[in-house]
Amino acid sequence: MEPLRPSDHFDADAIRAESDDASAIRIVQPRLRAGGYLRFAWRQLTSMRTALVLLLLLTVAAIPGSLVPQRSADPNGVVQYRRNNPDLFPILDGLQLFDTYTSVWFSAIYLLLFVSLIGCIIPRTLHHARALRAEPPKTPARLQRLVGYQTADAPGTVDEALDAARAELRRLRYRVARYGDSLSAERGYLRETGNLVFHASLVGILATVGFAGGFGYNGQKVIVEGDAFINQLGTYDSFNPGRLFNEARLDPFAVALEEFVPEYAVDRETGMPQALDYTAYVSVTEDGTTRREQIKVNEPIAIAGTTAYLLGNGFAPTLTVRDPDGKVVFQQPTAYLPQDSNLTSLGVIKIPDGLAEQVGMISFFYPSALPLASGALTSIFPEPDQPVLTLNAFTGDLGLDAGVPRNAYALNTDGLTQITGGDTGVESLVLGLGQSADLPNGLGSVEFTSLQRFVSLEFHHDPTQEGVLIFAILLLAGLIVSLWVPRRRLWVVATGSGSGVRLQYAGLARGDDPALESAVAAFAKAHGERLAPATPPGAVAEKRV
Amino acid sequence: MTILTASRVAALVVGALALTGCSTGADDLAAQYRAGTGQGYISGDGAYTVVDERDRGEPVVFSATLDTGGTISTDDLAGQVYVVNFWYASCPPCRVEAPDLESLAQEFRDVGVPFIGVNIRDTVAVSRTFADEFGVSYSSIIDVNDGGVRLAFAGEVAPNAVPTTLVVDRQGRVAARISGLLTEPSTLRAMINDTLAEAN
Amino acid sequence: MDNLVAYSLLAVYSAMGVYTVAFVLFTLDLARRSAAAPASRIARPAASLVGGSGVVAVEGDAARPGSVAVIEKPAAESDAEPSEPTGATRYQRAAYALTVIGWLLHFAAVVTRGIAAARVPWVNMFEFGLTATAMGMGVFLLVTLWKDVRYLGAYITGFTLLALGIVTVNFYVDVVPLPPALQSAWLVIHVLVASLATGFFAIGAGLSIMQLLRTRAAARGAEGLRFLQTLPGASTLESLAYRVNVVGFVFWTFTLMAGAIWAERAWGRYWGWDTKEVWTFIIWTLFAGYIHARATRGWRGSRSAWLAIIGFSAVIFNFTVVNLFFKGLHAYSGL
Repeated sequence: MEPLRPSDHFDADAIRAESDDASAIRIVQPRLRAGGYLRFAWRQLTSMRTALVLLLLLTVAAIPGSLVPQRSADPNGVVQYRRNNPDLFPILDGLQLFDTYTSVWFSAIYLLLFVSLIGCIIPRTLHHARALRAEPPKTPARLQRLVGYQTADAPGTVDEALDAARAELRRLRYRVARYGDSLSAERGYLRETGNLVFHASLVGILATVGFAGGFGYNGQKVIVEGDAFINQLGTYDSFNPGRLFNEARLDPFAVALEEFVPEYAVDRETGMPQALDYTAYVSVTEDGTTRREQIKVNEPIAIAGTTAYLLGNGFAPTLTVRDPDGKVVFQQPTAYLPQDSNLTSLGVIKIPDGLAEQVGMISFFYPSALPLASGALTSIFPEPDQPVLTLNAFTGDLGLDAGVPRNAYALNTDGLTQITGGDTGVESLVLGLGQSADLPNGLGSVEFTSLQRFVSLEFHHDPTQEGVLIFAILLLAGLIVSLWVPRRRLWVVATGSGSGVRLQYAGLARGDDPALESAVAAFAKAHGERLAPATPPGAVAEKRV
Repeated sequence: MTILTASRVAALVVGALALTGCSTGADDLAAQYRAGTGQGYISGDGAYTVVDERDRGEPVVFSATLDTGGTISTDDLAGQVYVVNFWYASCPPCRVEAPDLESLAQEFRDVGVPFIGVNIRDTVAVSRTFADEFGVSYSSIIDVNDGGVRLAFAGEVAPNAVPTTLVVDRQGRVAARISGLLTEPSTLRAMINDTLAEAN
Repeated sequence: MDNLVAYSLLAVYSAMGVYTVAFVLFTLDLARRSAAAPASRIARPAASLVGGSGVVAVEGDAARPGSVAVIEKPAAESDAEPSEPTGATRYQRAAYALTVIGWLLHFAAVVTRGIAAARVPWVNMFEFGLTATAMGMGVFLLVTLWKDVRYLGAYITGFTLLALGIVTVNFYVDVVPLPPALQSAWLVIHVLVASLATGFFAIGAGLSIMQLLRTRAAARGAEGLRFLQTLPGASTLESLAYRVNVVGFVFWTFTLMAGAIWAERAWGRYWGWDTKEVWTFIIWTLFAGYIHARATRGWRGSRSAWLAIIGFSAVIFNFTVVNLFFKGLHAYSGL
């Protein structure tokens, strides 16, 4: 049986024209009545052309998502984009460009594409299942019109010739049927199997992501050395759940950061630092037992159904703030965000309580500080060889008392009064490790007490991984098989002639099969050698023009 | 999880929560993530959960150090109804609810319902400064270093937002939870009273 | 160690020098063929008739405006037309020999760079450009062993020369150790296969360009570039391009999958629509579209050829513009 194809598959005409097989599927134009329009629409949707256009539309539709930040991957980027392009933002947002891959239009395209795909592969699969059990089709009446047609004469009887041909075809793993004085053989059913597996795997990947993906989640947490993380919603810094996420699914475990150890080298020519290795030494507490583990970039660890990844790191200087009486009102590490490869880092410290006014500080940290000619500082190496931090302090309402969420890594200075640095006339405070300085206006003092490091960990639970991996492997295997296993037919017709038999050979390809002609010739030659090992190649190749 | 009415007003809301099985919905969480505020904590919408006596989990067991010095353990709290509040100093809703919690703590002091803070981010200094600023009379556990108390409260009704307020029954099991800002002190009062009213 | 780096660069410049001469000779070859073309045009129909492949008829078909090269089986696919280009001149032989020498130098540059760095030589844009062009040239030489596609020599040497020049002059960075993000076995597999895929797509695009030119030339008769008439027919070029591109497509599929597995290790998720992932996906769908177009009536021939060329352009775009100007996690240009 022929592989079932959409009516506008380039093979479709050839199949109809060449096949003598009564069971070949003929696609009849539906009469456009009652259900006719529906069937017509369905035919259109499942046609090659529609699928191709949808595929190319999907290609084009994917582009905008690479041009603007996406909420799913980079929500902060979207916030920033809105700030930088306040006029453009609402328009783009209205078009769902910040959610390209979940947008109505993108979803519509891929859903239509997949409906088209499913509408194509289901009938093809059923058809192929029948074809796998069917005999090769009857031998066409006129082989002359087919590929690689040639004739040869051989001694012996028709039966002998056909038996030898059958043996040779079997050796070449053809399925063989005899019709009268001819053999019809077909091979390469695997091509269609591979094709169907490829397309079904695509559906499988989409279905796995669609269903299992809803149960996944990922969350992010900054942990300073000496602190611990608990896999609990209340502990995460940010958290992105799947649609079907239920907080009761969070397995209880703790991850404490004991130490973070980076390794650096210096490029001798450029003097640029090179990170060689990052290792986070953690202790993991799970089910009442504690174990020590290392997390590296590219080497996440598995904890209770989640995977923990090392995504970032930096310095977390501890500042001590005292009131004018010398009483400690603030003393804790703050994670500073790295700004360059030498780990010049930016920190925001908020001291809402304990001083006469609320104090916010924007601070730069230089692990290996070097003053530039301008007086500004720069860091020349990411290790804390000469740790220095600068502080610009502000006083006023930090905005924490209205219950409204604030960005923990930014200080909104609107409405605040700057008291050091900038245009205040007071130098920014500059502190080496262990040094302290007074805050202006008798507010108190600030000390750079100690230096820790922090890591940014991501915890990810993804129930789709195994399924997607299996389908991806099937997809690749199906693709390779469908592209390189040739589906071909061979026919041998034997006619008694005088003392021997006259043999005719021809083939037919399904899909691209540039080697078919030589395959027919090779078969004819091998067949000839089976019949009469010594026969000279007197067989004249009659090729169709 | 079936629900025991904590307050008549809230019965319907609570019933609806019982169906979803969680109070901080995936949609709300996703919206927080997508908002990209950089707030640095998971906020709750003030939703509350009350657990029927039959459905409560295992008794919570912990032992921890307090910001006022000294330690506290569940042995010290045996047979008592108590309230735990998970917080940290620069979390805006924590600052808003602090006065309400303090007045409830004083209200229930004589009845023998201790309030305990669990500070999940800060050091002793910051925790104490906050307590002085807001006149908080009860102590807080410093949980940032090992997370032991949060781990002890893991389970079906865990601290799932900042702040979270839990009511623990006499058997040491979590009986009720408020996720996020305590908007109505009367809700917490009703939860404590209902838990107190349960047979020993 | 520094010596090796210097030798590597020396080898790159030497390779570029040799490629330049090869490029000139390949171009001269095409030019000489143009001069010789009228004669071969007369000889050709006869040859075709003897060969009996029906190519002449098919090409007439393909060239007719509006007829979208509906190449009916088995007429086109069975054409056992000898793919030896007719009319190749002795310039081609010299150019080809020089290309092989250039490639040996090029390959040596890649190897010494790798030894000097004590790791795979493809961790930044310069190194990837160096290695991918060596792969592309290697694929070209490999394909010439299978089918004589030396008429692509000018295209491939020209392209390689341009790419090598740009990465060496604009993107050169010193040997640096592997940053933690790249310390993974997937660096070897993912990037190697990606550069192989790029090599196949480059050859495929070259063949598709020739196919389009050939189709146009056939439509215009004697007008236009006459060397085109010494090339194999458009249908043969299309079939060759297809067979090269599907190899590229399988490699690209693997690149995408290996990248996803690596992304799961390094970035915490296997797919996150990062800009590089988006463009890898776009390229994948373009070539998937190409393969389907080849099986769709009305899309075979020129339209599918355009898809292959757009696909390869997207590969170049992904390597250049996306690397340099798009924000994303896949930021390993080293610049």
